[in-house]
Amino acid sequence: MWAMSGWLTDRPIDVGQLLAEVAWAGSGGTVAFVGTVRRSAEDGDVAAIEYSAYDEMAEAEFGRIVAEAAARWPEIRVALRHRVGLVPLGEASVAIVTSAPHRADAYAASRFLIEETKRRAPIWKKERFVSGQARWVEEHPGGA
Amino acid sequence: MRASQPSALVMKPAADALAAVRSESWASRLPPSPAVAVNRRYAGREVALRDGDEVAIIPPVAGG
Repeated sequence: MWAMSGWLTDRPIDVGQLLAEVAWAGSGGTVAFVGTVRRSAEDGDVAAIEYSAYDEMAEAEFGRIVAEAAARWPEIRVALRHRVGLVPLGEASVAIVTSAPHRADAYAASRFLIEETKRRAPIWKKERFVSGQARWVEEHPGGA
Repeated sequence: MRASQPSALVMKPAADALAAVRSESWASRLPPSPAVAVNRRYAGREVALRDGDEVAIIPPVAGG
């Protein structure tokens, strides 16, 4: 498996670049998951989400999550970026791209990576509304 | 927060670090048993701390 380090970015995520990072002659299937900032009835008039991270631990934890995926699906390649800072409505907060000789592994690894990211990554989000109000979102307890 | 003692080894569990900050004003907003990380890795509360260890209390996460 070949993967980039530097999982966090404060710039807009370039999914095309991530696709290029995992492309190789042995890849039969590539899966891209893109998480985007959305507006919903229950969330209200979201203008943006501000992501913050315990940077050093987030980098280390992403390294561990990707290594676990590589151990389970040895032929995959992975590119992953999580954005920190202010992410406007409609833009990507996270992108996970996996490639594998067979699509089943690319899909399975993709699912694993996003679920583990959500469960473990020391990253927090604050919704910023059109009104100017803001609210911290609480989701997972964290932990190994 | 960094554990700091004159001796090289501090055989205190991370649970003591949690108890030490419970009186802080912001601690009331934490859940009863928050996740704890030692040196940038999730750890159980019973793990022993050494001088210079970096201990972090991790509020409920919302990444991804």
